[in-house]
Amino acid sequence: MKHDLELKWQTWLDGELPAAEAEQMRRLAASDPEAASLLAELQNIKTALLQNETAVTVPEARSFYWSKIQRQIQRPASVRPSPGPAWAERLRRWLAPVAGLAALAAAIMVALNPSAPQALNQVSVMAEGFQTRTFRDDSAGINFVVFHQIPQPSAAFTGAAPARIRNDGSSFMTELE
Amino acid sequence: MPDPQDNSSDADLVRLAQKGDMQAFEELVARHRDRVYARAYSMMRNEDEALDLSQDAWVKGWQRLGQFQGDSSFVTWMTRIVINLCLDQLRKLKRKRAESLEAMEEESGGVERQMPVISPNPTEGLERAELQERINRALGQLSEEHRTVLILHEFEEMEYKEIARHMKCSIGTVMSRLFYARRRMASLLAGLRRENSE
Repeated sequence: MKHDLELKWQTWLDGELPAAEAEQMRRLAASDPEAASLLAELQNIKTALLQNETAVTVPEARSFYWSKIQRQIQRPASVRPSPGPAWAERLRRWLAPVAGLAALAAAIMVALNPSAPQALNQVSVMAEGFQTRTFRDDSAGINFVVFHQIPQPSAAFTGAAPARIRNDGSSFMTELE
Repeated sequence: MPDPQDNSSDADLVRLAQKGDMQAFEELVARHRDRVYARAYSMMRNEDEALDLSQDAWVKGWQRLGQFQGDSSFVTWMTRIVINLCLDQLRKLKRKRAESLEAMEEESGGVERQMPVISPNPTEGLERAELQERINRALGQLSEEHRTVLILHEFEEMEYKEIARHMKCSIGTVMSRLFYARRRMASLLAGLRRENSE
């Protein structure tokens, strides 16, 4: 018997066939012994399961079971992570990359300025949700600028992006790695 | 002294709980916790997971009480919540497992496809307790998909399309899983009958 037909017999058994088709299947079942035996097997299982689910009870006392539910219900809202007001979130998303670019520009200006101290060890710029650190290697004439995202829920800027600024004496090249 | 809420109907308790009365909600939990837990246990087959998921369901129930309109009974509504939590959990567990032969056979029917029809009825003449015990053992040997579809159809009396919605699959898949689940159950129950008669 084809599987499609087997499923149709089952659908008929479960009462999910439209009335016209159901009548057709009823007539067919009476004259098809193979279908009749399959239907008998399916019906036996359906009947056996009906109302015969094993009774299971909670293996904990009422008060103990309830106490966990109550604790979760009464958990203060402040414990749950809150994204804060929408306007603050939008402002923060806008500020994070801007602050990053500003920090990069500042690092480049420091590197370009001949009056700047040559032994620039570290410049740290803090912005909301964003931090950069600049390291100078005088012997190689290279500034390293590292962007680092301070972990916060749903921050817009997601990657720590180390940038390398190379000073070869006549030009500067920024490489994002 | 008996609690005056003990005599209240579920509908009265739900109304009180919707206004924030936690004592009324606790009474609802006490009344229906076994049924909600039993459904979680039947699907997960694990006591600890069933406890956690049933308790999570009650927390969700409290949080969503405002959405309960009384279209079904409160316990049916709660049972649907725990079923969805169990299905989510089963999906998470499934994602962690590698694609298995069992999963591939799930849709094609595996050995049930070639299985002869089981006759006579393997459940005939059994005492109710014995029948329940055998059904429980056989259910435990089914795959998660087959067990779930049987539970939702036979115990929760859901229609194909409702099962498909809960299980996030097509109606055709539900029909196929149900068919092979029944055939496998027939085979397992016949096997248990043979074991006991030997």
